[in-house]
Amino acid sequence: MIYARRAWIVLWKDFLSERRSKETLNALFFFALLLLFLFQFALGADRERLTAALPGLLWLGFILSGLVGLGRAFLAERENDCWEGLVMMPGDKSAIYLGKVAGNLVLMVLVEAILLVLFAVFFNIDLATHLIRLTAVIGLGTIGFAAVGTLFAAMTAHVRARELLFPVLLLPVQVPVLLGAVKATEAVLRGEPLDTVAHWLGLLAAADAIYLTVGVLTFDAILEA
Amino acid sequence: MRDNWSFVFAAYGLAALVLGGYWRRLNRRERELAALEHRRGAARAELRTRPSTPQR
Amino acid sequence: MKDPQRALGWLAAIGLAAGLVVAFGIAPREATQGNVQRIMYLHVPAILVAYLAFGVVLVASTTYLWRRAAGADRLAHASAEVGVIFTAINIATGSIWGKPTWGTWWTWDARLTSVSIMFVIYLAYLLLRAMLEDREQAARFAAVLGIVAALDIPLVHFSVYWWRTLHQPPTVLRPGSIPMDATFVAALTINLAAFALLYGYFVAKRVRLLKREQEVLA
Repeated sequence: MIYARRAWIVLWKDFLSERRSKETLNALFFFALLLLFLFQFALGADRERLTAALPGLLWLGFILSGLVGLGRAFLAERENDCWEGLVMMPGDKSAIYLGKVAGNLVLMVLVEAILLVLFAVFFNIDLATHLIRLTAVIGLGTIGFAAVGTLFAAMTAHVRARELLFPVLLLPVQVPVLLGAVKATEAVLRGEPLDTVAHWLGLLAAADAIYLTVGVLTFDAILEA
Repeated sequence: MRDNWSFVFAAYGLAALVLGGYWRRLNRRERELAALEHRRGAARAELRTRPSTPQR
Repeated sequence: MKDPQRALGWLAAIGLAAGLVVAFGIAPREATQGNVQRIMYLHVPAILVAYLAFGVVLVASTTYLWRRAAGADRLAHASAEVGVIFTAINIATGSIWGKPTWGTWWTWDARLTSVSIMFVIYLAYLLLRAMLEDREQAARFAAVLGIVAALDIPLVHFSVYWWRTLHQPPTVLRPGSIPMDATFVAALTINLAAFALLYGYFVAKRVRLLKREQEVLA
């Protein structure tokens, strides 16, 4: 109970500071919009080609905005000299990890919702019919991304070249999640039931479980000063 | 089916080059460390002897 | 201290020589592919030993986080480095083998893809180590990454396999394994043993070097 409360406190603290500054979220929304333009210009106006590439583009958008957003996950602590505050928090440090994962999850889901609406408007996807199944797929994929991303963001927060190292570490590890999420999204957008991609969903769920477990078990070692 | 010996030799040659190169790199680093250690040891020995002479 | 390592080196050298003799002298010319198939005696042991190396990284990383023994960290570092080299050899020889048999240097075949992803993951591991200056911190972070990377390998394997095969997943891990002649198996085993010895020699040498580096530069 105290454990959950500690995680909640971390989440709430980040939420409050974000609500006051609105630093990350505003910029991320704008970034998502820019990505959409970028895809459009890179692939041309051919609607059929865009529709064929849509699941991949969608996840590319999620991952790029996720990289930008998650890379900043521990920046506030780092820049404002609050790292020691995190380290000195009593009890199990993995509560901090789970709080941060939850915060990043919320952040990513918000950006993903915006991206999804933008995609639906610009590329003419029928969101309403797929929404529930799409939410399941995107949720599973995003949990895995946020779980590893939070862990690596804490690691790279100390490195000088963190903007470079963070994606270099995160992207190769995320290949299974990316493949599974894109394939499952593809099937959902084609209107297929979820059973046809049950193995992909299983893989995503397994990845989520593995990453979260490793994160909880090892976060202590990352945080110590 | 043709034998493609050139591909076989290319593969084995490349592997030999990579493994040999790694081995030589390790050896060179070992020698560099030994030289560094030696120089430090010499410097330390010099420091130990030098202050005693001018004081006398 | 130095003698067992030197003995291991000589054993590896003898093993490699024996492996070459077996691969080129004793193993028969393969019927369908011709002599180009002899690349297999280099290609397959390299990746098997690389898997061994990354397994060692996992064990050493876990041990480090648990016990905080500097030796475990050095072992993980050395093993990852040697594993990356062996993976590179596997990919390069596979590419050279693929050109005459498939007609292309590279295809996004399931096994090729998953091995290359593994290669990139461990390259990133070495990059992380190189970029962290504080040794104790580098050890902790690398250990975490070493664990994530090793647990990621099965996920990569399955995802890439399903990605390349459009249909439902197969029940066996490696389908279509061809039954092989006993001489091929023997030649493969000897080369595998030689590569394992070489791995042991390189890791021992690298661990010792790391230890001295840390002593001298401390």
